Order: sequence, then structure tokens, then C-alpha cells
Amino acid sequence: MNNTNKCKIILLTGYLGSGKTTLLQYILKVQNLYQVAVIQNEFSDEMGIEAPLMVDNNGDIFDSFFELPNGCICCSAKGQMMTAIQYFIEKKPNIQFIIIESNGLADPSSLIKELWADQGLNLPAELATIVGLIPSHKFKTLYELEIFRKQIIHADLLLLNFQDLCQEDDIILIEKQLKIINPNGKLLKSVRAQIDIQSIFEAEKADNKIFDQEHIHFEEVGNIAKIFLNIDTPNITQQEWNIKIGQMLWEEDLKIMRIKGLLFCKDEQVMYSLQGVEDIFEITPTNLPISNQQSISKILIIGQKITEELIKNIILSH
Amino acid sequence: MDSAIGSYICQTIDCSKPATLQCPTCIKMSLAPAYFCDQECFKRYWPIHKTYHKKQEEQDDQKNKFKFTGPLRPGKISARLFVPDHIKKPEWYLSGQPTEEMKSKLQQVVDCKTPEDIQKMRECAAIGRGALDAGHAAVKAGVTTDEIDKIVHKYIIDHDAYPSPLNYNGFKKSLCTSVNEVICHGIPDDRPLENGDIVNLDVSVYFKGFHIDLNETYFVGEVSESSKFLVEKAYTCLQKAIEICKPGTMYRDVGNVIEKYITENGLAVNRTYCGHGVGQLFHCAPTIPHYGKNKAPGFMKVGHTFTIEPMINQGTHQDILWTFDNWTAVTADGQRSAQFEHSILITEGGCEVLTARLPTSPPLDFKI
Repeated sequence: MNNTNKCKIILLTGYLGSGKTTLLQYILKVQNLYQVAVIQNEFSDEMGIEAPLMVDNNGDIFDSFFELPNGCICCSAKGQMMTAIQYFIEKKPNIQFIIIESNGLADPSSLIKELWADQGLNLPAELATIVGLIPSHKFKTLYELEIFRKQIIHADLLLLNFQDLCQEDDIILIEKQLKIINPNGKLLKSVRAQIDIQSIFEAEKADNKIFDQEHIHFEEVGNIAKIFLNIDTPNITQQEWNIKIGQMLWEEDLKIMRIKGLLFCKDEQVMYSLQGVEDIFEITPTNLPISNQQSISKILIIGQKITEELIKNIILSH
Repeated sequence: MDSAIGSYICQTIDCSKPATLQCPTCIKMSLAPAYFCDQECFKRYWPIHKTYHKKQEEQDDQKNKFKFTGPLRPGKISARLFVPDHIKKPEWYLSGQPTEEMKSKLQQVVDCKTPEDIQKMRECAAIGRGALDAGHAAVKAGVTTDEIDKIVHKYIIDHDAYPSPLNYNGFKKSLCTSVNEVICHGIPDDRPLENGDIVNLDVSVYFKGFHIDLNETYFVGEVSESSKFLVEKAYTCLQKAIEICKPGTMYRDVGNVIEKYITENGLAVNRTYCGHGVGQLFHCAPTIPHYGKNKAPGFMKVGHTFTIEPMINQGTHQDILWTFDNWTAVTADGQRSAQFEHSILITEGGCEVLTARLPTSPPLDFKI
């Protein structure tokens, strides 16, 4: 997920009625800088594949979208959506952004995992930004829903929509609660999804301010908990980190939805970035030098059944 | 039943009699011959058989328009072979659809085989190995891949097992034969192998409720130095991948080992097709990419069974599909591709290659 000439994928998530389609229409109307295509992805895994609606800048519909040369192969590494996007880019090589609207009633994590394709596949498109839309005026009720919370935890950009229907106090409360399950997301406020659209096209993926914190947190909302760890790991190599994170995500009876970290790896010259969604994760080098000869790693985990003790045990065990 | 090599079985789906009468329309259309035992069977099966004529016509049209990437052209595919009644068949034998397989929880969860499961898989693997060796022994210039398919089919049914690919998602044959620029899933046809070809035979067998999957690439006569190099590297990269298979290894590391070795040798790893879990199901979790920098989840554990089957290309890693048959995957630049595959069981001490070569296996064409 770094800066390249690849086509950038922007994923819009958010509950039904949060303003995703309004935002899409607004983007297509006001933006004139980029070549943009749109996928309205109103199918879910359970429903099987239905042709999603795909339109370009001029509103032309590509209905041949799912006639794939490589469709439906039993052991294909790439999922349907990514294959479709790749095929689309071959047909329209000038496309700079593809905006995908996710299903308002579904957990977007499987779609996110699919769009977060392996580096080794060398695909012409990459997931750049996840925008989470929130209908601020319904926040209190929706926050009770697990599916709503799952739609928010992955966002890089959180759009507090329907500002006009809220009191100032409500907004402050919403911001506070969002910080618990998505402390990393950048907050924007809007009425009818009208925002400075450059903030979407030029959103910085890695907003690592969260890692400036020094102390350990544990907070819980409903059944979703957040842990922030600041831990000295002078003797863990990159390969050992891979195994430890694998244990956390695959072996223990935890349900980790999101994991993010800045890791100190023994014998390396730079810090490493950890990114993970459910059972998929990646540890890659950053260009950040190791600060003050310190061997501190910082990890943020959002999920269920997680406790600080369990996580620490996995990291510090041999 | 006359079961000599080259004899046909009545095309009618529930008939197992030997057959000599040919469908006249197939002859007139110069399609591959379809055999029937008697007029009665022919009449009964006609409503189904005649759709095959139409399909062939449409397919020929598509073939003529297709932009081939290399010199290989498809031949005629003969009609489907029969499997005797007493053999236990997978769900797709009649429907063509692996419906239960797709729905199974084993697509998400990797199971650990019990000692009884493992015993059955070993028996299944022995049949698979024998079938591949029988196919291998027949490889030479002038022999068609259809003839090799019949040999492999006969070997498998003679051992009371079912050839897993047969009618799997509608695949017409019991074996995949991938010649030269074909990466995988080539369909046996009437093209005679030529001196200088390389050919991969991919055998899968279903026996006592378990599947096994293995393949090897062979030389036909005298092949070029570059083809020898390709096939040998494809063999060696699989061996290197098997060396890291043991409890605790991350599945994602298999691709790193293969990619490193293959890139060092100036070749490319296909990215579209992956290794897979094998056992009660033909294809299930885990999915094992053969390329590096992948995020495949999971550790190998005692009792896991899966395939590793890297497809190695001389030129680009990219593949395209022969859209007129929807199976054959070829290299996007028409250069050659080679592959070896084993079914592997994770054990306490490391792994057991269930489909390993035997002292009786015909030797490979290069030093191993």
C-alpha cells in the first residue's frame, strides 16, 4: 500500500443510509482532475456473483464487466473482484481511481481482504484508502450493531455525515467513541456528503500518529475491544514476528479484526510496519529509522476476546 | 468386457458394454468418433448425444477466431469414457458440479487427518502413482494425449478407483495433459506428441472417499537445451519447497522458497494457479500460492494434506485461457511451461510425500 503509478482503489464502507451513493454522485459531479471509475458492489458472498453496476466519468455503464477471461477457477489466488478490476484496467488503462461502494448491510472485511492483494501478484491496482461514512444522527442506535462497528474499524478516513441533523454535544460524543474502535482514522465532517474531495483522492494511507503514544491502553465497547501496546522487543527478528503474529491471528481463540503496528526487528536498520485484517497480515520494511537506539515496538489491536496479558504472552514467549 | 488399450465403451451414460458402432453424424462432421454398443443404446442416448454435435460446431467457430499465443493448436476431443458401476463416484460424476465441495467448511478450515484417513490416502496415492507411471511409459512421439488418457483411465478403474477430473466442472477426460506452452488443465485430444515436445501428465484419483493429486513433466524424444533447463528447474523448485514442509512452517513461505530459486534461474512462477488442500475433497483449504510475498494464512500441522504444484514459465508469468474450451491455460507469450506436483502429508518429523516416485517408476529424463 505505497505510492506507485498503480491505479488506486478507494473503498466506501458504511451502513445503509449513511450517504455512500450520495458521496459517489457528488464525486462524479464535481471532480474533473482524475479518470475515475465506479463499482457499486451490492452483492454479497452469500448471494453469489451478480454483475455489479460499473460506470465511468461520463456515466457510461460497463455491463460486460463480469465476462472474465479467467473466471471461476477453483484454485485461483485472486478473488473475483480483483480479477474483474484487473480486466477492467486492461480495457481502460488510463483509469487512475476506482471507487467501490460496499454493501451497506455486510461486513466489509472479506472484500477488504480480497482488495488487499498480495504484493507478489504485481497487480495494476492497489487498495489506497478506505472511507467510512457515518450517519451521525443515527449513530447512537447504530453503534449497538456489531455490523455497524465492523464497518467502521477499517476506515482510514471517517466521514461524519448528516452534521446538520446533530447537536454539537452529540458530535463530541461520537468522536470520543470512534477513537475507541478506530483511533487511527482521520475524521471529516460533512452535510449531504459534500466534502473537499481532494481529501479522499489524496488521503495519506499511513497516519501513524497513534504510535506517538507512550502508554498502554485497553478499552472496550460492546464486545469489541481495543488494545494499544508499547513493548520492548530487542530480541525478536522479523521472521519471529511473523510467527508470533501468525499465532495471534490463527492459533489462539481470539478474534482479531484489525491489527496495526510499528515493529522493532532485531538486526534490521529500519522499523517494520505491521498491517492485518482478520487472518491476513503482512510485515514490511518502512523508511523510518530506529529512534534513539530504542527497541520499542508499538501494536494496536482491535477485536474480540483479546486481553493484554494474552497478547503480551504471545509476543514475549520463546 | 474387452478392456484392451484403445477399445471403447458405449457412450450411453449407464451402459458399460464394449462398443464398435459409430455415430454417423460424428463421422460426417469429422468429429472424434463416438461409439455405441447397439442401435437401442444409440437411440436412447441420442437426445443427449446430439447436443454434442451442436456444441462442437460452436466451438469450432470460436477456435477459428481465437488468437493463439504459441504454435500449439487444439485437436479433437473424444467422447467421455465410462466408469463401471461398482466404483464409488464423487458427486460430480453425473452433475458435473462439485456443489458439496464448494459448500464444505473444509474450504475455510484445514483438517488434520486421522491414522485411518492417512492409510486410505496412501492406498489412493499408490493407485495415483501407478496410473501416472503407466501414462509416463506410453509417452513417445506419435502417441496422442487421448491414448494416454485412456491408459490412465483404464489403470485407475482397473484398481476400483475413480479418475477425479472426469466431469469435474464438466472436464471431459480423466487426465490433464499440458503440452509445451500449456501451463495446466490441457484436455487430452487427438494431436500426436512430437519429437521435442514436453508434456505434463496430471493425475488425480478418488478412492475410499479420498482424493490424491500428482503430476510430472516428460520429454518427448530429444528436446532443446532450454526445455531441459525449464523442466529440471520446475522439478528442483518443488523439491526445495518440500524440504521446508514440517509442523510450524507458515504456508506463505512455500512461495518465497519457490520464487527465490526460480527467479535466480531466470524463469518465472505462474501466479494464477495455487497448491491446495486435498483429502475428502479434491480441492480445499489451504490455498498455497507458489509466488513470493503472499499473505496465505496458517501454519502446517501434523495431519494436514495438501499439494504443491508450481508451474514454471520460460518467459512471462502471465497466463491466458483458451476461451473456447474454458480449461486450457497457456502462457501469454507462447513460451513453454513445466510443472511437477506431489500430495504431501505433514508428520511429526517433517513430511511424507504420499505420491513419491517408486523404484519401479520409469526414470525421469534428467538426473535427479
